[in-house]
Amino acid sequence: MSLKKIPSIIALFILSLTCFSTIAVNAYVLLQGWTFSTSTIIVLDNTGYSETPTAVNNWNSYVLDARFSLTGLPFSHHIGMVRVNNPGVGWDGATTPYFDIWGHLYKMKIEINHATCGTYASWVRRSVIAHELGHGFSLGDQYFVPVLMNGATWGFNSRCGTFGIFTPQADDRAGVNAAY
Amino acid sequence: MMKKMYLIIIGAALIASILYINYYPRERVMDVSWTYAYKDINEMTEKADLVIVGKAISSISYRESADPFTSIWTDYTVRGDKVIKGKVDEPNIILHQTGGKIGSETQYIRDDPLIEEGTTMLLFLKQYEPNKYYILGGPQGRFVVEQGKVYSIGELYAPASATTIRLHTKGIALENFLSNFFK
Repeated sequence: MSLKKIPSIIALFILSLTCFSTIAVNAYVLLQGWTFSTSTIIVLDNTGYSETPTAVNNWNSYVLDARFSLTGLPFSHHIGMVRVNNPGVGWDGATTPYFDIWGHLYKMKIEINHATCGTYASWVRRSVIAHELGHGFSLGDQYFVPVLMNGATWGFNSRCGTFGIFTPQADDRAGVNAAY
Repeated sequence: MMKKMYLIIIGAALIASILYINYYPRERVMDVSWTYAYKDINEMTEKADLVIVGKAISSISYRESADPFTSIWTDYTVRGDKVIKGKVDEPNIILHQTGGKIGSETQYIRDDPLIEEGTTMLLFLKQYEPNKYYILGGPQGRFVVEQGKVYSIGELYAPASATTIRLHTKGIALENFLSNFFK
């Protein structure tokens, strides 16, 4: 092999590494059909948690292609947030979408489980709420990676227990911009 | 005569629309934040109050109020065939799962499919009321036993594969599985 070819081979190798790392950065998951037809998503908070406005602001502090708007009015909202108290489940937050008969998303419900969240520190509760709001942007769960959409609060390579995340990370934000 | 026929057609169409809107099959897929991600089966065993091999023999789905926006829950009666860890006071336990089926409406968590009646499972459970349990980490603490072999849920149901990847189990004989983890 000619020595002249070595720089080209190295350049090709570096280029391929760059390409692979780009794929790894954009690891967000988008939930099909979970995108609202508007980019201003109105949230009605009935959880009674003081962390909800902070979690909303955490998302809104970034310039994204969609944003949340908190409302106090019990109608015309896209996402309704409620507090539930169920000690018989292994989750701390849940999001359920509602589709009309034509399959269009018209509402989402976020449930924050007080049986678990009630025992958490404030920043962890904020992490759960911000994570569920991420579903409101149509982001899906990921596991064992340092993103807000990490689907486990505690345990091995978890959102709070390992990575201490309670705000949207670059990958989460890229996901929102891809969805809207 | 024609006017009467038009009225009958419009009335029938109206009734059909109302019935369709109320009774069309609805499938609601939820996404949840699991409280805990288990590193391996040993950690899950340590955290479980009860580990059993059992069969779901019956189930009942319900919601807490008539409001259609409230979630569906299902209580399964599970016959405990073999107790691996812990103690049970009755031959059957109640297993609580998020989601269920009421009429034409089905609700379930994306990576935690509804338990099918008649399925034999190896379950890692947490007690929350006398004789009432839930599965640790949703799909993580549930293994299906088919013809004497153990499978993690992610092996049988693709949407759960990422959640259960640390607990990957595929077709290991139940005796071998138990002797590996419960010496």
